[in-house]
Amino acid sequence: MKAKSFSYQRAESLDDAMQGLASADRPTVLLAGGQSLFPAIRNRQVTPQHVIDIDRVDELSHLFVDDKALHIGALCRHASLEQERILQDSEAWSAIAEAASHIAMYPVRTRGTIGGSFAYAHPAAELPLAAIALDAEVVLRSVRGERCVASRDFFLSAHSTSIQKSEIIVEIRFPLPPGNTYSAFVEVAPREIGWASATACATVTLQDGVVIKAGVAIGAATSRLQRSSAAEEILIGKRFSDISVEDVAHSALHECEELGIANKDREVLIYPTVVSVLQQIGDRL
Amino acid sequence: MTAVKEKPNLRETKFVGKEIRQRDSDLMTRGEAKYIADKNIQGQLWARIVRSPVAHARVLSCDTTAARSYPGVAGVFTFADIPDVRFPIRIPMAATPNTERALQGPLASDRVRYVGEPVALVVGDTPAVVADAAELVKFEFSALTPVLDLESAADMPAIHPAMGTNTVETVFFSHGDVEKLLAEADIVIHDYLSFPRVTAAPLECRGLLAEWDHTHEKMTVWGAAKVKHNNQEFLAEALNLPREQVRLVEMNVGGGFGVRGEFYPEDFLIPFAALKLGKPVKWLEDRSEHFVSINHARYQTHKFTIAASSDGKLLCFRDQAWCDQGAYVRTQGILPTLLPAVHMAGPYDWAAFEITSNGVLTNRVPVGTVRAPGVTEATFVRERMIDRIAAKLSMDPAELRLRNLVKPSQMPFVLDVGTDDPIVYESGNFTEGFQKVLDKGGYKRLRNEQKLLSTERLRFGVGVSAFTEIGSVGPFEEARIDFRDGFFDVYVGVASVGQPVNTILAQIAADELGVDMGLIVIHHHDTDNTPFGFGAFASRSTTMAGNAICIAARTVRRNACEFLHVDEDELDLISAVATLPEEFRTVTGRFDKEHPSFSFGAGLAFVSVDTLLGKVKVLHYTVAYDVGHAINPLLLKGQLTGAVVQGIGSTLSEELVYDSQGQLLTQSLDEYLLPSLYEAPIVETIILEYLVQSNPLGIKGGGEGGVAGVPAAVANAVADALGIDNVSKLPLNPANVLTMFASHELERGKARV
Repeated sequence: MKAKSFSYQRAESLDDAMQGLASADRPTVLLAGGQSLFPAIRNRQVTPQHVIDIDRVDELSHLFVDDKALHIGALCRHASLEQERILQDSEAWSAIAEAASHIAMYPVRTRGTIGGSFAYAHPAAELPLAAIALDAEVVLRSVRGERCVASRDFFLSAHSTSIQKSEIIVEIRFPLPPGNTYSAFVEVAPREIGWASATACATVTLQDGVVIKAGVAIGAATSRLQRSSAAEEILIGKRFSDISVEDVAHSALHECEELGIANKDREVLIYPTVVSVLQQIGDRL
Repeated sequence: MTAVKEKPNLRETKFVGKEIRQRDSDLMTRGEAKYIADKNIQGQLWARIVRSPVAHARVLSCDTTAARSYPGVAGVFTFADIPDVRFPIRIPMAATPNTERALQGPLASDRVRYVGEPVALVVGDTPAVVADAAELVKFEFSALTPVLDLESAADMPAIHPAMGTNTVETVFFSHGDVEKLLAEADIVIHDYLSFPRVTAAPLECRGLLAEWDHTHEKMTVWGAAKVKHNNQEFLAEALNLPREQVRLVEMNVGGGFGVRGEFYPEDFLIPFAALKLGKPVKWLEDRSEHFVSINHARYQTHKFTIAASSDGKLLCFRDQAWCDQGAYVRTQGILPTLLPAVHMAGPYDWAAFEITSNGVLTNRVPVGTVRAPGVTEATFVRERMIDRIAAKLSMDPAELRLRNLVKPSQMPFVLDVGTDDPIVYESGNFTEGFQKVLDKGGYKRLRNEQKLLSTERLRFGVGVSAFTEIGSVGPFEEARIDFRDGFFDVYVGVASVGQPVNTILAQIAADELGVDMGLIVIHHHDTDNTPFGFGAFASRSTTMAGNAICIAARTVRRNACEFLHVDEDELDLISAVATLPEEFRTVTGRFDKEHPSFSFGAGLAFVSVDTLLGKVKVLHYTVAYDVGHAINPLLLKGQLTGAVVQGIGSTLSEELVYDSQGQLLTQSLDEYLLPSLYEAPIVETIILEYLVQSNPLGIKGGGEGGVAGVPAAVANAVADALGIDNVSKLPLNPANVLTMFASHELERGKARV
């Protein structure tokens, strides 16, 4: 199969890209690492008439921590996140590095970007799931200005987000966690490399052994990325050591069924991935 | 024909039996080998096939106006444009009167029967132009209910009205009195097992380049594979040309595994377009297209009953099978229905059995053979059931098999299946071969490790399997040896679909001629200069072409001895060559083989299963396979190892999934999960060499057997790890494993109450 013809523009800067998007009068897409978009264009599943390549816009490759948040630029590659010491060494953020390490295979991770993964919004995507569990915000910018969207509101359904025409994802912003915050990420797949059949990401913040804050998110086995408030309700206010992770997992599964988002042939995996992700946290306490 | 353990009757074996690297392997690893994508002709046009988007429908109308007028389009063809060739693709193998009513034509006419069925052909200047124009071909369909379920297909309206039924054929094998033995048996177990729909998915998709030479009135098609002489004959017939005016050429091939090289609709359409348009036409298949066009395989369900006595004697079985043939019967006829039946009895000495195998037509991609066809599925079914007997008897499953394998004293073993043609196992020592797997694979050690390593969450399991596999199928092959310029040119009718026939056949030729291997050039690529042959399938190339070469080479030497009046052991062929007259410089040998050979094989798998997440990992696999005599142990080990990994794919992750409307959901390598390096276990290969007397080299095939025992051994190991008996379907992906485990625990819970 060959792509439908399209025009191509390389953006030299973020401004350049935003101008390009703002003035586009035809169906236009942004190209970053190209690991999902290229095959989709080639197979004519996506048929843009204009492509703006932002892959070399260096100002989107930042990663730093300030007094408010962890800022991950949209063009950060999965491979760099997987190897990032700031993430690996933090109990609160290690789930982000872990999530990145499960994406496809290494060559893909050296090209694929976090911004691209957010824009693609696959229900089995790893980094978006971690963002939802960890209350990250998506920073969007256009010629009209900048806005932040909570990641749990950003993802609407499979391959659908609240991104507006002419907006660019510039950054994923993870709030600074309180002390005693832990995170974990688990994925189950039929094969070591490739899309997950089920994913779960969890974070808990403890005070004197009691859970005061929790985030549990489920993906892949569901039709969309889902934050489980039922699971969180059980967790919050209890000593972690008193919590039955099985009960939490059951309530998460039950919630998915109630919402009608459990994927029939994989729903059997929701319960064990939630158990496993909480056990991983428990093992580290 | 008793088993003999001695070297074959070769003059000397300087090359045969040696571990010699594959010829051309450097070219391939450096990317210098030429595949069909690399072959181009100035001025060539490009083709794209328009395929049915629906599984089952009447074709009401077809509008090609817009496509025809699209800039750069040279021609658009539908069924209406090929009135003179409204023929179905004929079946060279396993045909019956019924199969004639379900054959596929090159383009659909009034009805489409699967998603992906070719309905039109667009030819134009570039791949992009024809992709654009293909989208402009408009069909109107009137949907029909798709037939998808195997067991109820017989009750649905026939998808081929001329056939009147969706059961294309029923194969019936029987031996002894099953009913009587079932009544008397101490243990009888019933189960329902199924094997998923899979395909080979070779690394290289298909491709063709066809050119009509006006001056010489000759059609040349590059991109042929596997069975090019058969295809040459049929293409000539379809294009209404004498066979000599059609030439098929193989390029390097990136994997065949049974699917590539059969005569598909495209194999007619591309040369047809080249002939009609008077210009070369090229077609390269893309991956999503590959998944809806190349033969699928293996999907079948079995209602199985097995019986044994309490002292561990396997008595009899009854198998009722439904084998998916897909929407049309393609070139391999009813082999998908026949081969599971042929292999179901396997290497055991049954007092009785009864096999009813139904070939079922459905609205899915037609089914053919994939590496180790029939035997892989049958082995999974039978070996799972044998393990269930062992569990019931609390007997070691390896011990149970050793007690019931055909004994060496029974060789040659005649397996009467109630038809005119019994199955004959010519040679072998099944118990010795199986014992080697247990010893070299460390069966006892693994049983210990299993106990030591297993935890509540991570369980370890050991599984074994044994089988017999058909191979070295005839009817004949020819080889021609020409020597003129210091080299020995050897022409054969088999093919290379990636397997190293060049090397293997050169080893045989060199030893049989008594010359250096570097002087041997093997030719198999081109129908213009090779003798008619049946091609590369059923692990036949080495046995059939190898023995034809052997016969030709011995004739070369005999002629030379007679001409020079020297004794065989005094002959120096290289010096003699210069003095031999012209008529001695081309020698043809022919090897005829009436019956196929059967090889014994066995496997031992060691797995871990994460009982929380359902993840199966195959840690170690030992495979043993009988080839009579290994021409090249290095390359044979390569074949066996690769085949084991391929088998692990269909055991753990591969499955072609259709939805309720007959849409294929797995159309990319993102969804159709071939095994990766991470899934490849440590593979130990054991080459068994039980010579046969039915051919001069004493050999059997070796290309496929590595696959056959894998699903069975791995499934048995998983069942063993989890202590469950309901591992009755594949793939053993996390969701399926957890579902089996949970439902077993549920049953066990109920039993306790």
